[in-house]
Amino acid sequence: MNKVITINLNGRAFLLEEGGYQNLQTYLQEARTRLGEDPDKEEIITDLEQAVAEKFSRFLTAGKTVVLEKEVDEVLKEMGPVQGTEKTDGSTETSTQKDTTSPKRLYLIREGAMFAGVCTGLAAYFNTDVTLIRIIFVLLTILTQGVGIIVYLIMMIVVPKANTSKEKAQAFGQPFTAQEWVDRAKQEYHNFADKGEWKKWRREFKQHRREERMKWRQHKYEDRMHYGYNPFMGIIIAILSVLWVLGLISLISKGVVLGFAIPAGIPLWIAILVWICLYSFVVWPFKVARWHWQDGQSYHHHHDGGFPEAMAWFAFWAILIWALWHFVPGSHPYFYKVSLWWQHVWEKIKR
Amino acid sequence: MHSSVGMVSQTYMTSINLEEKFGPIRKGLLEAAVLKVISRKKVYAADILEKLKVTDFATQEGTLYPLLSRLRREGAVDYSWVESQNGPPRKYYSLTAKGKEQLKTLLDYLENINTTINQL
Repeated sequence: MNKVITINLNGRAFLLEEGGYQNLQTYLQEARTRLGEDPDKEEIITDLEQAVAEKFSRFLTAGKTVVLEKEVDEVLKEMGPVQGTEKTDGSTETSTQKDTTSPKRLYLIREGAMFAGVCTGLAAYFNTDVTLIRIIFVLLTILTQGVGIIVYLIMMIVVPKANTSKEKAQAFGQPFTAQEWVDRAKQEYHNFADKGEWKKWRREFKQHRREERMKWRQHKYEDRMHYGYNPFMGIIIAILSVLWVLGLISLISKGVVLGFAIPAGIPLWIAILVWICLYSFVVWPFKVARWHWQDGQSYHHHHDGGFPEAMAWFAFWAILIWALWHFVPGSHPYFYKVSLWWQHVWEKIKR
Repeated sequence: MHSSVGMVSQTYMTSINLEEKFGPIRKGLLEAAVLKVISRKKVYAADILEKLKVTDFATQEGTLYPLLSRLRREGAVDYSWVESQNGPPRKYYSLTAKGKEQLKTLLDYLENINTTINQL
């Protein structure tokens, strides 16, 4: 069962599978970008839409009214990428040139993000896997006793969000220069220093959050309909969040969590921040696995990584704990402390 | 459609990579090829693609439409709307006087190159 979207191509209605609709949308968006300043841009787009419509017709019969995603892809492949016209009055050429070789920029990418999208953005920038970047970040944080988190927070503020598809494309584009880095930092600073900008930013942020929440609600519903929902993962997450809240209370009231006292010289707010991050890192793979446990094939419909990535995280945690136990004998007392704390909590839950 | 491009160059490909050597030239000649097809009779864009499909000039909508748009802007081609039984009216392209002249210039130039090469 797949969702179907009705579209109007040059006055004719077509029913497309949701994925196909998105791919067509991307194709036309790309075409617009590539045509740049072409004075007949809209006319060309209309022509392209009509060509697409005619190609769709060949997949439709009285008994089959929906164009499938793979059929849309076939049509788009036949159409070929839109070429900006060359050797014309110059304007179109330079604009297409600029778009195809646009510099690579570092952006925050929300799709598949755990927090703000710093790691997903970095992964796009360096063209590697997100999980690898995340593991590097975690290791960095552990080895440097927290500098990784501060680096993350700074990047979260300084690096812009990729909102438009063009920005998203740039996130995967070509590297940009150090000068641009400096300019960007200045620009961001001015934007933020300016009060009007700040207000605008806040308004946009609220609006964005509302939209995200609505999208999330809808997705959650659809996911329940389409994909295997694993209640077991839900229970684990519920237990973890209860433990987390208990830990937070103990952290604030006694300055002790998981049997650790906050080391001297570290303020409470940093400890709370670390506690929050720890929770996200531990819970995230369970959240992902919750939806896709039984349906390994459908994970690519979603941006949040899916089952293999969740497994990679579990493996990473297992290896980390094992390595600590084996190579850092000094950590053993902490393991005992954690198990004592766990028994303590367990007693409380039983009562 | 794309595969036919590959097939054609495959058969012509011997020890040298023809696609690499003549790709840019073929791309430059596409305009002449399109004008030539339009010069025969009024045609619909899909007809042009169909005609070119079996040749070395095989191309796709993504390339042809912007090209036609530019040729029209330059005054080489013009179109008229023709009713269609299935769907909205279609644009049928024809050459203008200027386009005919342009095509002749291009073909003459090609002929010239050919003669020069043969005489070397």
